Order: sequence, then C-alpha cells, then structure tokens
Amino acid sequence: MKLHPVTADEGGVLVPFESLENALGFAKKCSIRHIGLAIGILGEEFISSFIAPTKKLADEARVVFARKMCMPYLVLLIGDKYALRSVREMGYPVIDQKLFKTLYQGLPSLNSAEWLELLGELTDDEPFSYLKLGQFGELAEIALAPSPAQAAKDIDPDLRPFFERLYLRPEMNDLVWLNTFRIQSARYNREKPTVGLVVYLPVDTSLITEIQAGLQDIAQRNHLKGRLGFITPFDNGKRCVWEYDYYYDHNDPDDMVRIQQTTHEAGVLLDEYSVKTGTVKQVRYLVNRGCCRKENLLYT
Amino acid sequence: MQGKSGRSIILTGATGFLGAFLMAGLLERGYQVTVLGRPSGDMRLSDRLSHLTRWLNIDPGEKLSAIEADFSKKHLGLDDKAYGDLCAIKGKIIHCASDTSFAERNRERVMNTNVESLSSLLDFAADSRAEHLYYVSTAYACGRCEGICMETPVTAESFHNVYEESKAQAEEVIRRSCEDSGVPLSILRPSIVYGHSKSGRALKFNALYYCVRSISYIRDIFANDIRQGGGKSAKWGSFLDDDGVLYLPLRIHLPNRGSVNLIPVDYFVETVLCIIGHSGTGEIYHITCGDPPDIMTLSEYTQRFLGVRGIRVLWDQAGKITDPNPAEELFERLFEQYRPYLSDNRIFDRSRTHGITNGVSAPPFTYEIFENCMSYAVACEWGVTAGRS
Repeated sequence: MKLHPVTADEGGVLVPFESLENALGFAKKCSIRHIGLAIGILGEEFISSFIAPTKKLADEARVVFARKMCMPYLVLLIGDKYALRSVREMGYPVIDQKLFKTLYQGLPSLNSAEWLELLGELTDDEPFSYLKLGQFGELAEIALAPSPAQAAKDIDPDLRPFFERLYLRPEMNDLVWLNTFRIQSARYNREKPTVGLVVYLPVDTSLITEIQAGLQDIAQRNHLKGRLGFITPFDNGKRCVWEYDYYYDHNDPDDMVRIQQTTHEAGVLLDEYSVKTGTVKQVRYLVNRGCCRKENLLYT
Repeated sequence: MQGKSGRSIILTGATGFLGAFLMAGLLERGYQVTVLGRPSGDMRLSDRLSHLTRWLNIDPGEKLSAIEADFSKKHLGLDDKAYGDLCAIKGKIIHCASDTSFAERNRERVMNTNVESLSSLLDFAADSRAEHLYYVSTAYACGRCEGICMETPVTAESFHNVYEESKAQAEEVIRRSCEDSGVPLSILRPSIVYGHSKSGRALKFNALYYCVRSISYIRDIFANDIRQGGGKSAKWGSFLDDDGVLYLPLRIHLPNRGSVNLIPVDYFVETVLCIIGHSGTGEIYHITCGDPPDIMTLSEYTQRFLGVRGIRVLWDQAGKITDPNPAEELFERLFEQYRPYLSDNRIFDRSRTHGITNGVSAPPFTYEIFENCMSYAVACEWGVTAGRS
C-alpha cells in the first residue's frame, strides 16, 4: 500500500485496446512518464465485472466489449486533470467518465445495439477513432437511453426500486469511486469463485503471453476456465503485477479436485519460469514474508 | 484428373463473394473446376465448398474438386506428388483470391496476400504450362486519376488506399511473370460488385451495403428514441411523420458530383465467362457499368427503402459539414473509406469488354434491383447468416 495525497480533480478514463501488446505498451508508457495515479489493464472478465451490476449483464457486456466493439482490453487510468489531459494529448481514444456513465446506465440496451457492430467492423486506420468524435457521447445517450431505471431493468422486480435509488447515486458510475472502494473486486466472483495467481514480472509482452498460454493450456487440460484478470505496472514501467484467474465451483467435488490439480501444475510452471528467467516471482513467496510495500515485494 | 482442353479451370478465391458466384457459373457451363484454397478453422476446404454449393443451389457432382493450398509456400505448400498431379491438369487458371481491406494498418497483410503470395501461383502457372491465366483485379487499380481510364496497364503512382495499390502492383508482377513464362494472361477489372440483380443474393455486404446499413442503424437509434419518448432526437431536428417516416437530418458531404460504378454479380460472371471463352492474350477488360447511378439516385433509393427522409448531399471540393449533428458525424466517419467511390467522375473505357460481350451491359441500377439486394441483405442480417445453406 502506498499513500498519496488526494486532489479534488481526480478522474478516470478507460482506454480501449485490441491487443494485450498495445495495452501493455500504453500502460508502460504512462508508468515511465508517471502519468496517472493508478493504472490497470483489465481483461474481458474484469471489464464485464466492472461495468455490470448483474451476472447476466456481465455475460452480455463481455460479448459486447470483446466481440462487437473489438475491445478485449481496457486500461483503467485514474489521475488528476493533468494526467487525464496527457492521455488525450498522447492521442488515445478514451471512454471518459461521461461516456462510461452512459454505457453503465444504458447497459441493458447495449447488447441489442446493432450500430455497435458497425463500429467494430470499421476498418479505419486508427482503432476506436469514433470515440474521438465530438458528439459520440451524445449519440450513445440517444441510442442507449441511460438512466438508473434502465440500469436496474434486469434486476429482480422486488429489488428494482432499491437499485434504482442506488444507481441514482453519482458514485455508482464514478470510475474513481468504483475503483477506490473495490466494487469491481466485490463483483468479480459472482460467476464462480476464482483462484488468482498473482505474479511479479517484467512488463514484457512476449513473456506474459508465453506464460499465459501455458496457464491457459493447464486450464484446458483440467477442464476449467482460466482468464487474464488484470495487469498493473509499477516501478517506472519496469515491472508489473499480473493476475491470472482459474474459475471453479466450490460445491462441485470434481471441480475441487480439478482446481487443486490446476493450481499445482500452474505453480510448477511459474516456478520453472522463476528459475529460467530470474525475474518472474509468485506473490505467495513474497507476501507471506510480511512485506507490505511494493518496493519490498519487488526487491526481496 | 486431366481435363479436356479449355474445359478445366483452376480457381482461387472460390469461398469469397465473386469467386463463389463464378464457381457456380463455371459449373453450370460444364467446366471441370478445381478450387485451390484454405481451410477455415476446423472446416476443411471441401466442407466449405459443400456449404457454398448448397447455398448456391448447384449440384457439382464430379465436376468440382478441392485442393488445400498455401500460396505463401513453394509449390503451393503441396508435396511433390500432389503438385505434379495439379500441374497435370493443364487448365485455365482464374485467380480471384484477394484481401479487400482498405486500411493502411493492414498494409502488410494486404500486400502479403495480394502481391507477395503471387509468386507461388505464378510458378504454378509456369510449371503447369497453364492454358491461360485470368487475374481478377479491380477497375480502381487505376489509382488517383481523372477522365477516361483505358483498358491498359496501370500508370498511376498514387492511390486512395492500400487495396488499390496492391492490385496495381499485382497486375504489374503478374504481367511481367507471364511475359517471361509465356503463359497467356488476361486482367479482369470489375468495379464495385453488388448482389444478384434478380434474386438479390450476395455473400459480402460492404461498399453500398455498408452505407445503407449505417443509415439504417442510425435511423433505428433516432426512431427508438422518439418511440420511447426520449426527447433527445427532437433536439437534433429528428421526428416521426404521421405516416411513420422518420425525418433524419443527414447531410452527406462529397467533393464533386459524380457517380458510383456498380455492377451486379451476375453481370460480372456472365462477362468473365464470355472472356474465358475467348482466346486473346495480354488483354485488360473493364467489367464496369456504362451508365452508373449517381449518389442522388442512391440517396433517394435509400430513403425510400428505409422509410426516412431528410438526407441531403452537399458538394464541396474542400469543405466539411459545419456543425454536424451526432448522426452526421458518425455517418461521415463510417463512410469515409468509401468516399472516393461515391462521387466518381472517371469514365472506364469498356471498348474491349464491349466487343467481346457483343455489347451486353450491366443492367440499369433500378429501385427494384436496389430493393431486392437490400431486402436480401436485411434478411440475412447484413451478412451474419449469408452463405448458410
């Protein structure tokens, strides 16, 4: 944990990417230049958990973001007004706070929004350039009709009035608040419990991709779902914390056997990479020593 | 496997839009067709062709065979025996496969597919002493030019996009190779191809379809907002008439008055079949429309088909729409890639094609044809379910 002063102008943006390589490149660039207070690369599971109040909507959001809009990776960047201005000056198209609110409160309409497919198919030279259109947010508002009532549309009828009141609160679609109070994390395991493998390693796309392919292979062999969770760079963009998650049903004895076998195999694989590279470290070997500062975790 | 002289065709790109219809036309005329192509995911090439022939309502019997080939590899990625057997066919080759992306960021992929991978095919044409090679290029290989575009080799050095550039380069590479190897060559240059003029059927829904589809989705955004009492549409001047027609203020900016050169896929097939029945060589054919519709006509068709009004076309060489509304801004972005083709004032010389087809031209692009094609596109969800048997 690192404490820092909080300014009144903190805000957040989501920067979409088609590939992990480009998302890592952006996150690393920001980290090197000290742009932003918090940076996290979110995979499609985290994106859908982040934005959706119910599991059903999360499933739909996963399809919409990853398939229709071709944004399987979003980088969440929290920063003050200068940091957010820097991101725009770097030329990246962003989902800003206003558009995020529209998407969040209009989520039930998103899945049936055929016009999003057009954007995904748009083969222009800059991916997601439509986000730079001055009135894209306005168009999205017309199309999605966002409102607290719309956001609560798919919630059980008896709970709906409560959630409509809840979604009236501005915090509920505030990227900074949602991140600060770990709402996303709380939503993450509503599909199934997960075992998250947390690894410290260099911001190296090929290394991360290679290890991820190995972890995915283990999941497939053991018939479990495995997905990228998040990646957050630090230490001036040299290294990052990377979470990869295995999903299992804790009420299913067979799944319990599978998750044990999977985590064992994954642990062996990560240990092999630790030996081979000398730069890959599993968090379980570091945190258990009682360290609390990232710097200590890094250099222990 | 060796066919009768002139009756064996080796076809690439048969799983694409033009290639599929061409394959059907060839089979219907009794040609023995050997398709060179790739599997797709878990689906073998032969399975892909089976799906297509069912969709095309043809029973090829023994007339159709499939060979999985990799154009990026020597001998098309085939072993010596398979390559030898293929060379023994000694037929005509129609090279229809191509990457049609316009995006600069796909340059490497487009160049690899459309230019680099030609060497393996051209080696095959030479090794098999092919009777003739027909290369399906595009009328737009002429690049940025004005006035009359002749049925002659490309001289342009500037292009609207990487696709045009790659096709121009490919023409040159193929021309030189065929001169060296002595393989007779013809280059076929279609303009923008839409679906079948009678049935409306198509396999690909870009260009004109993409523009109509864009307006259709924008219409739905505003119409739904009005029906749900959202109120935002009124702010942008959009409303529903008593008869249910949506007034959608949409200004489309184009640099100059011109036309859109469209031909139906059945005209493309008939013309190619005429050309391959002819024995000339070194010839270039423009398979284009002699009387192409202008954007005003297309705009009128689109409004009628979609039940909207309010679309206006503005002509301005340099300017842009001032204070665009959200619909205009999005549509501008969506149709940007097609802008050069929507106000085209070039004239494609068709003398050679005209001579060989005895003056048969593409049918006039009537509203009936437009409606057939767009209705088909809507029915198959703009391509989502197209090609499913």
